[in-house]
Amino acid sequence: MNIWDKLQSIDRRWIFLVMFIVIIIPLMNPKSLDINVSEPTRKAFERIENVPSGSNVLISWDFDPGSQAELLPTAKAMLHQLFEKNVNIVVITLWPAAPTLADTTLNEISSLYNKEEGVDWVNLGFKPGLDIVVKSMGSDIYEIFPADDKGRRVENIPLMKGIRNYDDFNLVIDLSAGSSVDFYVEQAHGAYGADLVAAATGVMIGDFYPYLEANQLQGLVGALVGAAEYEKLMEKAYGLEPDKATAGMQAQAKAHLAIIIFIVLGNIGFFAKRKKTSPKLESLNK
Amino acid sequence: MSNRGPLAVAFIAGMLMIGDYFLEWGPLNSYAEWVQKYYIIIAAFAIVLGVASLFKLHLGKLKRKEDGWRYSIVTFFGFFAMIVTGLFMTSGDLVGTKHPWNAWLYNNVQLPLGATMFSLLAFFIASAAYRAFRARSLEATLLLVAACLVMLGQVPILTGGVFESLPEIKQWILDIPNMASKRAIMIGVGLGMMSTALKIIFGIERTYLGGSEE
Repeated sequence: MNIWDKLQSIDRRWIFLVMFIVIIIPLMNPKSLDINVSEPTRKAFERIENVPSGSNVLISWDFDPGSQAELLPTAKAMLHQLFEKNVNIVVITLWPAAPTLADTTLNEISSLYNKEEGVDWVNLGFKPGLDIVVKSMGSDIYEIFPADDKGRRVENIPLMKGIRNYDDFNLVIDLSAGSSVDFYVEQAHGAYGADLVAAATGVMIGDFYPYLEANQLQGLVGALVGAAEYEKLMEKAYGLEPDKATAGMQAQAKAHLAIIIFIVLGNIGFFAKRKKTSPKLESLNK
Repeated sequence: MSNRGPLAVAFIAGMLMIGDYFLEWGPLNSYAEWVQKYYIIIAAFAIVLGVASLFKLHLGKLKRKEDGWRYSIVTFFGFFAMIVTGLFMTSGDLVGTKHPWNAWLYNNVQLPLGATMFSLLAFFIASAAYRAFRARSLEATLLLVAACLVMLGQVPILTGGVFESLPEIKQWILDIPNMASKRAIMIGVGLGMMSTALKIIFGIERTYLGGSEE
């Protein structure tokens, strides 16, 4: 096996080791990076910034612990922004493993702003049915969520007094690790005219750009980089200390660079080997 | 002959739901709401089916002592721990996912394990990208170059000079070629869904009935 073969078949354990090193060192020693805020993230921030104080926002918390590294920093930054603006928050989820994560985060952030559960925010929990749940909330949210995550009847929750359907929300935010953004665009926006902002994982983000261009989404925060951009905007606007997304960006940057270096090495080996074994050269050798 | 009943039900149910989308007529809209509630109840039963299926699969693995049967024991342990603490235990007013034990299991087992599983993707993606991204043809080269540009533009690591415009290039790739192809796929999928739905409503597509098409 010559050098070109070796370049094409690096043992994956070496790749894992390099990835481990380039990820762990920046995470242990985080430094701030110069992050440029992209237009979709800026749009999302500005749309939330334009929510009037005292109005209601629906957050669909559609991610579980598996995607928290990408979406939790965005969720936290948006909750900070909404509580700063004294906006009422209603949370629901289409994912069965999400309510506890949502509850923990809401309790953590709301306590910083002395916001009361049931008055300033409420977690209505999980309901199976995906797009049908999204559609049904357009007619009567009480029918779909008769009680909150703790089992209290919604009619007894002060915050829910004036809320029946999408008309009572100034904005719907979907924090999505799957395709729930499609449901909200088709049903909440398409059928009921709700304004939408979404945050999605890096794997899914490409699917949602057409909605942004068509103004079916009014803002889109994509993956960890979007979360870091959002943290930067929150730092500028409210002086909020950047959180895990900004710290994680350095590790992600190094990981991307390492992957590209491996790809380049593989291709150098591939072209060198092909040049050596090309039929033209072989015939010349003969 | 025997299929006429189900076909009629499919036709009437389908037409009523289409009507609900386009018409504002009280009885029709109430009927649609009623149907949607039933859908949610059926979806809840699907979760029960999923749990039963998982149970059956791992029980079979244990019985046959298949490869990795020990992992099935871990699955059962987690399965019963969450069910017992979530369904049968109470601590004052705290029940279900609010019970301290269930919350502890979620926060200290499910949460880090879920995050760990997702984090492992970084390693596998690196290995897979290294092996798969070879410039073997024009299409593969385009994919390779686009992927590298998006990866570099996504993170602020190479800045200044020629790298200054990387974020704009990344955004252009996402906004123009990516969006054009996504729209084509979405329109194709949309038309496909519409034609399949119409074929089911009008009884042209009958495979959902099972058995023969007669």
